Amino acid sequence: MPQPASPAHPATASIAPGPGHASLLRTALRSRPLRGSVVTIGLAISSLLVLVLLAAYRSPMQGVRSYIAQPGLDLWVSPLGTDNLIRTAGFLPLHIVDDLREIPGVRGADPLLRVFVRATPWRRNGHGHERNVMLLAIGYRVPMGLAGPPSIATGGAPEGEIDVTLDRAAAFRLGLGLGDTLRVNDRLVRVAGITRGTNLLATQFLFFDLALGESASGLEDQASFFVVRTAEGEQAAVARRIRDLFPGLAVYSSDEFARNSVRESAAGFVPLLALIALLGVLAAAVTVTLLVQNLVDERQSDLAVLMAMGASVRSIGSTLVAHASMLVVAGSLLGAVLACALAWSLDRFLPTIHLTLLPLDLFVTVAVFSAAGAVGAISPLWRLGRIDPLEAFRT
Amino acid sequence: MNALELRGVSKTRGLGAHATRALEAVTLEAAAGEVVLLEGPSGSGKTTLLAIAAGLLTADQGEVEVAGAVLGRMSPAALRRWRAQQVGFVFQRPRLLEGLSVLENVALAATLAGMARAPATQEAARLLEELGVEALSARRPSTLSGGEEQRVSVARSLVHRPALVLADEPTASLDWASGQAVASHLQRLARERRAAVVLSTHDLRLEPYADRRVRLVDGCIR
Repeated sequence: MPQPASPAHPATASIAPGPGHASLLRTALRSRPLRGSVVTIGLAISSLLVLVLLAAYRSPMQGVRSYIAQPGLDLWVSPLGTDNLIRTAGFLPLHIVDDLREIPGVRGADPLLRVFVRATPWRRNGHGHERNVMLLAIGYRVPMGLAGPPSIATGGAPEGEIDVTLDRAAAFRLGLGLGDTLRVNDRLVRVAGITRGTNLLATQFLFFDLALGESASGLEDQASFFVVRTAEGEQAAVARRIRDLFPGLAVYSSDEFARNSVRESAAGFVPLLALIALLGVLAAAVTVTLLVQNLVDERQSDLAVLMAMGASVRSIGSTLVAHASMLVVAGSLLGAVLACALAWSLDRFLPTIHLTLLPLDLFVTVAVFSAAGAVGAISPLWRLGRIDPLEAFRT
Repeated sequence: MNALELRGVSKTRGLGAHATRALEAVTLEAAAGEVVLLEGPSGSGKTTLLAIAAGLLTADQGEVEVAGAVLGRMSPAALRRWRAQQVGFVFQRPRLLEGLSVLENVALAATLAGMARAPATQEAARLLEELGVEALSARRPSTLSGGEEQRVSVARSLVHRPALVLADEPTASLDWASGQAVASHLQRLARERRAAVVLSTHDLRLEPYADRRVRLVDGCIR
């Protein structure tokens, strides 16, 4: 029986969709659990790749910085043309160090000899093979000289001419432990200590006595650098005095020298790392694009019904983007957790590869992946505008 | 005031040589709570009429007024919001969303109309109970029979208390007993909720469940 129209249905009212529709739309439009899991794992692997690359980059950079800028080292004096520890041009006469010590404001000055040496275990392994590695050796005035090993993991710094202290990754590669004997350029020496944070990936640090460095390398009465400790607040003044007294020398603050060395270390491989990281981010964005495109194509009739029922393209689009973003955040967080687990496992079981994960890198990676995922999710949304709500009437 | 008024509505579908006159000067009224049975052969323009009444298609000529609102004067966004609040749909295939439970499917229509989630869920549960399918609330649509799905679809079309329900051959894919049950529920609830219903069908056996019958042939009301 026909009745009068209900006053409870004001046709002109323009109420926005209720607060509950977004969560229901999210539930309705989310991808199938298996597909969502596969996408999340794919994104986790992409972010893990990027994080590992970042961490692999950070590790040698931090090693270089922690050695050069260790407490007590204020100035680095080098031959002209040498502004970093990694690549050097020429040597300095050793006797200059005595003159440096006489400069007002100088509290200490020591020579350093930086050479590459071949390190070989004294005993061959069970198969008769001889393992050997090239190490970045730092000869300094043992035991009390400046610029010794920055961080000891076990044992101690060299105490005499037959002692060396080497990075734990180098020790692992050579199969050496504390007290073991090895040959450094055919000189027999003993492992007195093992350091950490001195792995530059391409090579590792070894510390030994200056005299041993001279005899092992044949570079007598020469130094690669002089390191100087200054009185409090005298760093700039002492640097100026050294330049005035020795115009043929270059003088750098520890920070500047560390920056230059980091630049020199990174120069070779940063472009490649950046390219691979970019590819990782692109792969994540493409994965998200495929996911959203698939959702739009597969759910076309559902979307038509929703549009007929009054859901806007914008709310459907933002629901799909939110769903994709949730997967991206979950994937990149999972990648971050995996990266931490991997770094811990490598440190414990395979110290040759050292990963330095910084909280900032974790945060930036999650943020970059989220942004890339959002861009990837938005790109297929133009197809939403082509869905005809009349589809809902078709059988 | 009628819940639905179509005045001299004409519509051509297709372009150029493929253009066909889908509706020709159609005038149709439906009062609140009234069920109008729209019958006619395939291709007679029934679905086009329903789409124009819902604001999903625009009439080339004539005027459409639903519960006092003239559709031709609304912006697309206003029309979409209006449709969410004032129109309910029952399609030939129920087209429930598989990602949602039965209860959520019904509640979604209410939330799209502006209701908050909790009252929408309460209203959906009440309606499912009235339709005798409350036991299905937590189930997924794919686990329901055709008749059960269509009853849920009826609940979805009415949960937000629309002024107009458009049912496009809602019993076509059901057996007669299920079809009768669906038509009967639709008629009873539409009366209770004072919604006008336009029910398109080929099946004249549904006539007892309508207040009036209108025949559409070649786009014209006969």
